[in-house]
Amino acid sequence: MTKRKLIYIFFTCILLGFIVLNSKIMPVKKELTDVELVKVIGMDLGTDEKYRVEETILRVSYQNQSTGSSPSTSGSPGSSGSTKYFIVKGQTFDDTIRTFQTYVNKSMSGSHIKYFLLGEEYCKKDMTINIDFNARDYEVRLNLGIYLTKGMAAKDFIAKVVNTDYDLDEKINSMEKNNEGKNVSYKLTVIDLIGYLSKKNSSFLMPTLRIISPKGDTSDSKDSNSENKKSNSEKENNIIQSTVVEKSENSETFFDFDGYAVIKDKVLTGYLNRQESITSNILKNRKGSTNIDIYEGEDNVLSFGMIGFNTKYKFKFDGDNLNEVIINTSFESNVDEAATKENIFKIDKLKYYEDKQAEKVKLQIEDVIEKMVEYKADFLDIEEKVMMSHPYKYKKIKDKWVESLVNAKFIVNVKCNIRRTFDIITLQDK
Amino acid sequence: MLDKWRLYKKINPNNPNPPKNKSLNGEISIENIKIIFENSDDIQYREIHFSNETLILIYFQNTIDIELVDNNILRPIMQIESTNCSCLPKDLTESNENNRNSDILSILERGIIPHTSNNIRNNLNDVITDILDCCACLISTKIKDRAITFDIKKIEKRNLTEPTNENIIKGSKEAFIENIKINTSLIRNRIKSADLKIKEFKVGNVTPTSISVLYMESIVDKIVLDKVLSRIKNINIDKMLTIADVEENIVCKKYSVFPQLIYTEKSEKLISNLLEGKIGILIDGFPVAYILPAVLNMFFQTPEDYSVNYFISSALRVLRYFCTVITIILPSFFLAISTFHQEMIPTKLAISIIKSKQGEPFPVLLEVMFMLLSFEILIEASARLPKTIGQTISIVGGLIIGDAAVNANFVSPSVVVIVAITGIAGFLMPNQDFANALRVCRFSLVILSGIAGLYGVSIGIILMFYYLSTMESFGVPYFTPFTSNDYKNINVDTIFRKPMTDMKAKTKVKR
Repeated sequence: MTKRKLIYIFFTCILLGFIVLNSKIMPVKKELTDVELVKVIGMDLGTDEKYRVEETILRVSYQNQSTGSSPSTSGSPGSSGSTKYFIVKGQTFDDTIRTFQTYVNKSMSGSHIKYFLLGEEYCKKDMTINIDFNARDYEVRLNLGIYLTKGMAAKDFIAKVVNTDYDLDEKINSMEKNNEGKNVSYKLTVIDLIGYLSKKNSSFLMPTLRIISPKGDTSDSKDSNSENKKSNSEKENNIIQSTVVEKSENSETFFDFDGYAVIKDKVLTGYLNRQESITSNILKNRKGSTNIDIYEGEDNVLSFGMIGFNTKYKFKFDGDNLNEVIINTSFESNVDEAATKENIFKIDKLKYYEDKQAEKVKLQIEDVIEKMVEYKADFLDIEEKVMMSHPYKYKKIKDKWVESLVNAKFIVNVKCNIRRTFDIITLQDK
Repeated sequence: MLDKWRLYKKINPNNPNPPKNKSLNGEISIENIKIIFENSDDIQYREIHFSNETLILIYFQNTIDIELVDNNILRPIMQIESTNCSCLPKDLTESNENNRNSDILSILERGIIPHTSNNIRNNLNDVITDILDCCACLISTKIKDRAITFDIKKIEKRNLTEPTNENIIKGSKEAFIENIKINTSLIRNRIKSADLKIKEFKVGNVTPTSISVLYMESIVDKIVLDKVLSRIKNINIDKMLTIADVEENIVCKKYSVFPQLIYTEKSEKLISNLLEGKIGILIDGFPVAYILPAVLNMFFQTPEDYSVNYFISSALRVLRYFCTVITIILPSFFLAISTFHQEMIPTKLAISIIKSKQGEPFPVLLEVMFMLLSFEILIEASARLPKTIGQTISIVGGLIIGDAAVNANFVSPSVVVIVAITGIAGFLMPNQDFANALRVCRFSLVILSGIAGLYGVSIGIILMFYYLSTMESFGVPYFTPFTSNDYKNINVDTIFRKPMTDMKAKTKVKR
């Protein structure tokens, strides 16, 4: 045996020995069937001092097994039958996870969590302290979505939604995919959240979810939670509650995106309504489309589909002070619908309708800016744009940025271009 | 002086003790030959009385062509005897130095017997070797120092048929057969160049077998050629019954599972490689040829590649490389992610796998090992049995037992799918030796994966690459041309095949 071979064998043995004997670098061995897959975690503050936080853990259920059908039967899990979720209490989130592990016979895996739902009260406290454990867990995927449950606790939201015929995570995922047509709010990922939380005095927008009652009214948190509160009060001394929900055939609870929540200095400061959220997306150059209606008289409506938003920012300084923020927004629109019997749309009125749309969008932008000034929260990320375009001047106003922004004069210019009128012009000409 | 004991041992290796009271004196005499072939009932001694002396024709029955003996040996001798030809000297029995060229054997060899393949043998050893090589030997009772041997062996050969393992749709279907002379003629008929050289060797003490080394002299790598020739010369084995007797005696790393020679049944493939400067080895009795040096890239090429459109050919090669990765890594990767790294599995797939594994008692490691072993058993069983039963075994094993195992919750459907994909991907390998090596790697990686998950798989792959990069086939690195500094040659005929017009030969062969 040559010397080279001996060296080769020696180092191979050392390497293998190091791997086998050193349990710290060896991955933990567990069968896939021994893993508790969790798809959504709701985070709330505890109702008493004993348990500071509450987590609602919505696990993946395997309906085909519970109903006794063949394992190979296809079908999305949780689409029918019962869904089980747990409400776990503890001093910290770490504590709740350990408690959860004690009461289930599988080891929890955070790697398949798709969404964190944050309760409204929870977001009113400093999020850096509360979300740290869950967001920085190595198992958590970086594209995990974070939503705020508007007007209610996350556990109540989950309790209501699991009573429906659709999966919570599948539904949110579907809404995200089809969001371009609505342009209401966009997903906030955990990596973005960590980025915002790491910055000092940061402000950002967090998408919200809101329950819609069967009659189409948005539910109030106090009304919707009465039953759950009752059941919770009965078991409030239990550290863990497991709940099996039998889905009724007439489950008609829906939820939808409901704009953004404004988070300033890691605390929930206020909300943007749906229209303000859409406008904020325009100002942040989000890819998407929305519609705008122009009324001519009482009954005549022209609906335009808006696409291709392009917003540019210019900054004027007076010495080292930010004097003016000029917002130039342009977009294109198509005539989607003419809900009228009269001949209101003519080719020579294109400019008129372009101006109408621009005027309307300008007002909407001014509303958003007003909210920004009111909350003193730079949720449009203007700071970043100033930093990129005027780095030296930004350094001088960095420490008093919010004051500078709030005191600056905002000039909004909106330009619209009607791109397609489809066959409306042809019809009117005839 | 002939070493009689050594000669006897050589002829009778299993019975080293010669018969008592009988001795060999080294003369080419009927007595000595009879001692050597004692107890061999199939040897024939045909006496021919010619003039004043007796000639004896010695041969093994059923091994020579009787018609050739009658027409080319016996008939001329008897015709001369009957016509009393004047060309014969008066006293043929004289066999001294003065009339050495005029004795009966010399006269017969020089012109009377119309057979081209005859040889004068001057010692008993050569005579015995020729008789064993199915030649007929003519000796005189009075001349003790010479004999004539005639190569009139009866060749039982089959016709040229299509290759069994290297099917081709567009192209020559000519394949080698067991006869080396016909195999050599196939090459000579196609390469009409004096540059084609064929060196012949005999290997095997008891079963001397012809080996031919073929190469194009002007383009062959002389260093590689010298290595090959010297290694073949140095082969010292008694029996040459399997093709591995040659292969394992000439390769650089005899303990390696990776093949260092590439075999082919197709003459076309050997010719193509010879014209690229490779060396071919033909062995008598085997319908295959070896091509060397063999590098990794060659195991992914098929003759069909050069018959179809270059784009299709390149796509198929990419597919083969891809399937190589699949067949090595897929089971170990599946095992690793389902046992150690569940976070890597997409949620829906994880749910699907968990569902399929409900109620199964075995861990994934055992399931995968069990299925891989079952797969190997099925392959081996269908290969050993006759073709019709082999197909039945495949159907019974694959469908009925597989389905029953899944229904009985012995294995999960996902593991069955993984192992099936792995096995089918392995069948894409054109070279069976290389496919076998991949099977060994696959099992090794599964074990490493069962110990350390993806860390184990990574370490296994690193070690495998390290080992392959240290391997050489007759001095040529195994990863050639991928490790070459000559980047232009890397993409000529490797993963992608360029159109024929773009693939220029680096050295022109002399005509």
